[in-house]
Amino acid sequence: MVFVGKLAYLFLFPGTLFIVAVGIGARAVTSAVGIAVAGPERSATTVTAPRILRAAGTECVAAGGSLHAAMWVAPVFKVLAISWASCIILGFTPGDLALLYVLLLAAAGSDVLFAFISPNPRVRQQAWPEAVSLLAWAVPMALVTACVALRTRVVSVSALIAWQSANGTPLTAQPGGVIAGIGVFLALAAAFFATVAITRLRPLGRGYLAGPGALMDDVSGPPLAFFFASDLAMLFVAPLVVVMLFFAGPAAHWYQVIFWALKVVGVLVLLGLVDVVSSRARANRVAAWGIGLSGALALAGLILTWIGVRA
Amino acid sequence: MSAHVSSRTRGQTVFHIRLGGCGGCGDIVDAMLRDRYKGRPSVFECSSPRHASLFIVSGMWSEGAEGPVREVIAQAPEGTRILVAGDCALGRGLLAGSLEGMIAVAERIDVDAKVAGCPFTLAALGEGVRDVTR
Repeated sequence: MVFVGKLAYLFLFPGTLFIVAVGIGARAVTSAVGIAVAGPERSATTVTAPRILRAAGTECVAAGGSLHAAMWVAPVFKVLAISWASCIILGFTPGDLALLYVLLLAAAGSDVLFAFISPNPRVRQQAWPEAVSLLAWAVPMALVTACVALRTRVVSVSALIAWQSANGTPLTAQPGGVIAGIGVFLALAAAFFATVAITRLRPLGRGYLAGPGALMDDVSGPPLAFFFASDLAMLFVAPLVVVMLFFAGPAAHWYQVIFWALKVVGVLVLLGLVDVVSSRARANRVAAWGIGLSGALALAGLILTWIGVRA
Repeated sequence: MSAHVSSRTRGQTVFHIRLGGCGGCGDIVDAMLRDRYKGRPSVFECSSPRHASLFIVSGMWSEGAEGPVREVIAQAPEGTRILVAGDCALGRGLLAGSLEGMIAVAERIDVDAKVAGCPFTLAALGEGVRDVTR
């Protein structure tokens, strides 16, 4: 019965609705940061709940060919993958760090595949930038995951959270000493920069509606609403992964759950700051910095952690 | 100019079709979509006709533009409305008598609203958008 319940949470309405609803709140947090810093912005690329509902109620204009099939399948697959990842972090299903990484990689990769198969040449122009943005998350996060696993000597998500509940954050825990702590700190910085890429915030990520030649130009109707919902879900789950890796703690009491939420909000506030102050940066240059900087930070963190753990 | 924003206007997505001409009407439409001012309709510009709930057509209709314009409008979902803005698009105004083959947009496609002027004002355009989305 418990397994059926977990399946129901994963596949059916409640689980995906939860991450989308919280994603709407996450978007509100990042937008509020932008408004606080730079004033109100009439962004045509912002995904909001009314926009999702409006898209869901609009006719789906046939795109033709494989794209029409892909635009129905890809966002559903993406939302389910993100939902599964959230289930692992929230303890509904077992899973290890590798599975979590693969799920998020598959979710983000579905957008890249969608860009490559589009018959619209202007959308296909976004394919390689999308792939670069995916690499800007994938490469650093692989190294970050290895760094955390090396530091804590655990590979499952539940064991990692339990380890942090017992030993504290990997940044300051005793095993490994100062060198390992510095390594984990560098990994944290790399994970943060990588999260900017996967959440489609400026400058590394491109918004779904950032035109001309936006990724969603040929999508309309309910598939567009699903893509919007997946974007919001990723905006919640990606910071949740960062909190889980570095700032997890017990969640047995209601106030501890609130602490988790505050940590996620803290990461979202920082992401919102990066989003608003980087709005005029050239995407290709920042992508190079993103992959180079966050990748280098993650690699340095992994090496320092290895040195500290071995000592 | 009323500062009230219609609840049905809020969140409407607009695709602007510029047919050409002096460009004055198109610039005012772009100003409504991209600039900030009090009383601005709460609409968003979209880059794809498939996301449009409202087309705003400005400029002069020509035989050469007919095909592409029909292709763009055909991609819109059902229920999308069309607002024609400016005297050139209405087949009249300063250039109507001097350009051969200049016809009104409304003679070739079904439109839901018209805003006259050469050019029209932001307020007039805003009222037109609110009326067509009501």
